[in-house]
Amino acid sequence: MKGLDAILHYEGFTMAALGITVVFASLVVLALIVSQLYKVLFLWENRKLYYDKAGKLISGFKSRQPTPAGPESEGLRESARQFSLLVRIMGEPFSLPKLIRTAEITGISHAHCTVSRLIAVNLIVPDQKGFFRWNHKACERLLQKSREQCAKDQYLMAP
Amino acid sequence: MKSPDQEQIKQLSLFRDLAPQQWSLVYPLLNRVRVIEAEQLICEGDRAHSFYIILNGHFMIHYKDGSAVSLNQKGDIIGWSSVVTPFQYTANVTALTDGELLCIGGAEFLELIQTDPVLGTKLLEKINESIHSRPHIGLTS
Repeated sequence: MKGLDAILHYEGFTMAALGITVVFASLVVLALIVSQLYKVLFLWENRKLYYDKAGKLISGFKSRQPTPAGPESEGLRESARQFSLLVRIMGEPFSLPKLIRTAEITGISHAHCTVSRLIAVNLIVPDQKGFFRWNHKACERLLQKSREQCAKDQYLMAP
Repeated sequence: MKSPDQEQIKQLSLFRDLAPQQWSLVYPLLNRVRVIEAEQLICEGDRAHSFYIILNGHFMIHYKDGSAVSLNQKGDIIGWSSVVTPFQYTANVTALTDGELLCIGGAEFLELIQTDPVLGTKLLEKINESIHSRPHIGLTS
């Protein structure tokens, strides 16, 4: 068997067509990759910006989470209790550096950071004259929550 | 907290209105400084060699009489005494939390003002705005 008969017999035309298809398909895929390469390069060059954006998205998501009634908020309540006592002794309005010094003397650890946190949650508020006041209402609300949680826990634990 | 990059620093109120050419003169003067909780950044009476711009963290400016003001906004300025006579800090500044600031040497800043008065006026106006937006207690450092 020779010539066209042999080609037909061994499916030469099919194989040639398949070969052409494979080559052209590969070329199309390659062209697509090359045409989109500038996007990958743009992402790579601006990776810092995208990391930041992703970080902001994650931190935004975290900040939308409700405040957990976990050890962190319990720490804040404990700090509120301690500092409200100190403020009661010092009187109002009080000096912020003096409050920090007194807290350190009484053995409260990380007094600076704790005061910063109490300012952030508006438990310590400035009087706009350089001195500060204790936000009794906010403190009472915070401690009330704590008492409610405590009562709830006791109720659940009761036989 | 992630440290802000050059583009984010450019967006601070002090630098926002600067032309690219002016920004290229200011940016090399900025040095990043990290502080830890309770660290005293500025001592009252010391020679005012630098001023600072808050990137993150919470800071307390306090005076001998016990008055104080707390700053935690990105772009807030601390230590402006370094650009006014008698170049002596008028308050103490203590970090309430760990933080990061931009530090500008007073001498370099004054030199920049002298070489480019337009840029100097722009920056001094912004510093003035920032200082006047604070509660007026003592002579804010």
